[in-house]
Amino acid sequence: MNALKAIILAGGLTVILLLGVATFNYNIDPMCFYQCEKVELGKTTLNTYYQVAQKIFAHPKAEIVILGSSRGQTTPPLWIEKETGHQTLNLSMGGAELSAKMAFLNIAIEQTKVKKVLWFADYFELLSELADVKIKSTPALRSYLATDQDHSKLSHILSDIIGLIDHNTLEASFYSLEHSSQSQLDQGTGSGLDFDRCQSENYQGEKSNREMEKEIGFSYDTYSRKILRPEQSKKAWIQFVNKLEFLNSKNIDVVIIIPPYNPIFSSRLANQYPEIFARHRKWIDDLKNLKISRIKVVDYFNSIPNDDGTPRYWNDGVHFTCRGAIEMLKHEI
Amino acid sequence: MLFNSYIFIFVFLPITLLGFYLIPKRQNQLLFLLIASIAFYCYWSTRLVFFLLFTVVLDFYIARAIFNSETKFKKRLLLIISICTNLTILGFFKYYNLFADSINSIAAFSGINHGLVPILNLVLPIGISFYTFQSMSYVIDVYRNTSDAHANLLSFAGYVTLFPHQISGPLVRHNKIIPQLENAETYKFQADNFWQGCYFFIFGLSKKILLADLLSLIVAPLVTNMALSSNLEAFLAMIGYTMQLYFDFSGYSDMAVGLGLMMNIKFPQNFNSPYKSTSITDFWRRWHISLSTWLRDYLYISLGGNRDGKFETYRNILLTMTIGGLWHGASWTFVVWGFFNGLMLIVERFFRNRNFVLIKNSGLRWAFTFGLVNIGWVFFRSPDFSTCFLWLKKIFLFNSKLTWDLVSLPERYKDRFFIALGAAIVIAFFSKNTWEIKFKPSITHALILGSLFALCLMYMGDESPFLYFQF
Repeated sequence: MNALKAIILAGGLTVILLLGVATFNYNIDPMCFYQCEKVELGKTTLNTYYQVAQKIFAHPKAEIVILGSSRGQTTPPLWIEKETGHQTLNLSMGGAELSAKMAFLNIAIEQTKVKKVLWFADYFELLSELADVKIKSTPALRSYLATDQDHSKLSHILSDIIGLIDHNTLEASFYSLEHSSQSQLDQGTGSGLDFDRCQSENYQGEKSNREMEKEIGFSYDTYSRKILRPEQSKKAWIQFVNKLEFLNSKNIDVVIIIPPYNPIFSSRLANQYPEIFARHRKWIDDLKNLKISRIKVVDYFNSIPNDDGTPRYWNDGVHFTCRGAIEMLKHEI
Repeated sequence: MLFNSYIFIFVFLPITLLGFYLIPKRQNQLLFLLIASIAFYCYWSTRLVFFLLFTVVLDFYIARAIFNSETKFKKRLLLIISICTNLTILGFFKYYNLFADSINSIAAFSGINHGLVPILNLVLPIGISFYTFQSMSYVIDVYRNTSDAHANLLSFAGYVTLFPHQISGPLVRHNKIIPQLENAETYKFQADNFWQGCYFFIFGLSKKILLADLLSLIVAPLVTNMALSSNLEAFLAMIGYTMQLYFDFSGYSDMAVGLGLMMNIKFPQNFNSPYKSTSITDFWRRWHISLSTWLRDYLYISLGGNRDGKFETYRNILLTMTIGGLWHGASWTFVVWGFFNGLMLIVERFFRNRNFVLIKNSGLRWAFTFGLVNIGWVFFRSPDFSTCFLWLKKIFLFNSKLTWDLVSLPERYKDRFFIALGAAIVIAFFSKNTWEIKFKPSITHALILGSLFALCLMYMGDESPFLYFQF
C-alpha cells in the first residue's frame, strides 16, 4: 500500500469512527443536550440540571425551596417539611453557581407555590454571571436562564459537535443503556438522609478523622488555588440583587445563610491567603447591608453553633454534614 | 495553542499545511510558514512575541557581524553582547523572582527587614528557554568558526520561530534545520514523509492524552497533599510522576517531530527509551537528547570539557548539570536535581576510569539506575524542599507512622490511573520506542492510526498543558 492511500484510509476511518460515535451519542442523548426541548417527568437522563428541573415539575405543591451548591446537599428537606408542615424541595446541586440557582428558582416560581427560599450563599457562586456550558446546552432549560447569557448560535453548534464526540458522552451513553430506570423524583438532594440520626447524640458523621483530615487537605488545595481565588463578578452581584428584588415583588421570603468553612480550612485560608479571606468579609458585609424587605441574612461564617470541627459536623474543608446543616437552619425555618 | 486542542488540529494545522503546500514559490512558502509560526506564538501573547522577534533579529545581525569582523577582539565583543543580552532577558523573566526571594530570605534570616528586593509580577514568555538557546547556538557557532553565517534573515527567523519546536523543543540546531528550509524539495508534498509525520503526531498525542494526562489526575493531588499521603501513595506518586513526565514530554517531542515531517522537515530524536538505561550516563544519552547535547557542546566544552585534568572534568560535569537543572525552572529544587544528576555522573565516571564495575548484574544495574532517576524526579516535581524531603521520607519509610492506605486517590480516577500506569510501565520498559518501530504504510497500520486518532479526539475535551511548557 502506498503512503497516500494509507493516509486517506486512516483519515477516512477516523471520520467513520467519529461519525459512528456521534450518531450513537445523539440517539442515546444521555445528557439531554439534543432531544429534550421540554422538561418531561418520564425522561431518563444523566443531566443533573435536568434532573433538578424534573423534581421541581414533579412537586407543584412545594412551598419551601432550598438553593445551594454541593454545600447545600446535606440539608434534609423532609426534616424542614416535618418542622414547618410545608412541602420542601432541596434544589442544591454540585457546582451550582448563580445562573443555575436562578434558573432553578425561575422554574420553581413558574411550577410551584414557593413562598420561602433558603439560599445557601457561596462566595464562588458570584464569580461569573455566565451559565455553565452544561445548562446552556440543555434546550429545555435555556429559556429559564437570565436573558443576558451568551446564546450565540455558532458557540452552541460548536459545543454540540464537541459534545457528540466527547468520551464522557460515550461513557454516559453506555451507562444510560445499562441503567435505564427512570430518575428518582424525590424532593431533591438530602431526601434520603436520616435526619433523626443526624440530630442524635451518637451521631459520629460519615467519615473517620483521618479521612476527614485528608479531605480537608484536598479541598483546601482545590478551593484556595482555584475556586476561591478569583474576584467576584460585579455583573453577577447585580443579577443576584435584582433577583432578590424580584422575589420580594413576588412576596417570597428569602433567608440567605452564609455557612462557614471547616475551622482548620478557615484558619489556613486566613493565614495563607488573607486577600481571599478579606474578599469573603467584604462580600458578607455587602450581603448584610442589603436593604431589601423579606430578605434575612444569617451569618454563620465564623462557625456553626456547637461545631467541634470533627466529622460530626464536617465531611471535608467546605462541606458540612447534615448535623451542621440542621444546626444552622433550626432557628431560621 | 496546544497541539492537543481542537483549534490546533482542526483550524491552525490544516490552514498552515494547505498554505505551505499550495502557495507558489519557495520564498513565499517560507514566509507563510514564518507568519503561521508567529501567529501560533501570538495565540499565547501578542505582547511577548516581541521578545521572540527581538532575539531573532539581534542574533541574526550579530552572527553576521561576527562573520564579517576582522579582529578576534571584535568577534569576542559581539559574542559577549549577544550572550549578555539573551541571558539578561532570560534571566530577568525567569530568575529575577527566585533571586529576589532568596535575597529576602537571607535578609530575613539575618534580621534585616523583609522585602529588601521587591517581588515582581512577571509573566514568563513561553518557550523562552528553548528559543534563546537555539538562537544563541547560531551566534556561538559562527564565533567558533564551526559555521559560517549561512542563513538569510527569513530562513533564520523561520528556524527559530518554527512552530513545531517553538515552545518545548526539541532543541534543534541551525545547521540541521536551515538547510532544510532552504531546500526546494522541502516545499513539495511527499506522501511518505506525511505518513510518517501522521504516525509520530498521533502516537505522541496518544502518549500525552491516553497516558500522561490520566496519570497526572492522581499524581497532582498526591504531591500537593504529601503531608496526608500514606507511604504507598507517596511511592505511587513517585512512579506515577516518573511515567507521566516521560510520556508527556516524549509525547510532545513525537508530535513536534511529526509536525515537522508533515512539512518534510526532519527533527532529531529526543528520547531513546530512557527508562531502559543501565547507568545515569546512559540515561542522559537517552533523555532529552537535544538538551544534553546542547549543554555538552555549548556549556561543558566551553568550560573546558575533559581537556584540563580529572578534577576540572568533574567540576565541569557538576557545573553543567547544575546549570542544566536551573535551566528547567526558577527553583532551588531544580538546581538540586541537576546537582544530584551531576554527582551521579561523576561517581560513575570515577569508577569507569578505574575499570571498576560496582554492580555486575545488568538487571540490578538497571533497577538501581531507575531508582536513582526516580529519586531525581522527586526533587524535580516537588514545589519546595519541605515537600521533597517529606516525600522521600515516606518513600524510604523514615516517617514515624507507616501507613499503606490509598484513601487519597480520587475514586473517579483510580481505575484509569492504574490502567494507565500499567500500560506506561509495559511500554517504557519492554516495548520499542516510536523511533524503533517501523511504521510503514499498510492497511493494518492505517487502521491503528485512524482508531488511535479518533480515540484521542474523543479525549481531547480534557486537554491539559504540557509539563515542559513551564521551562
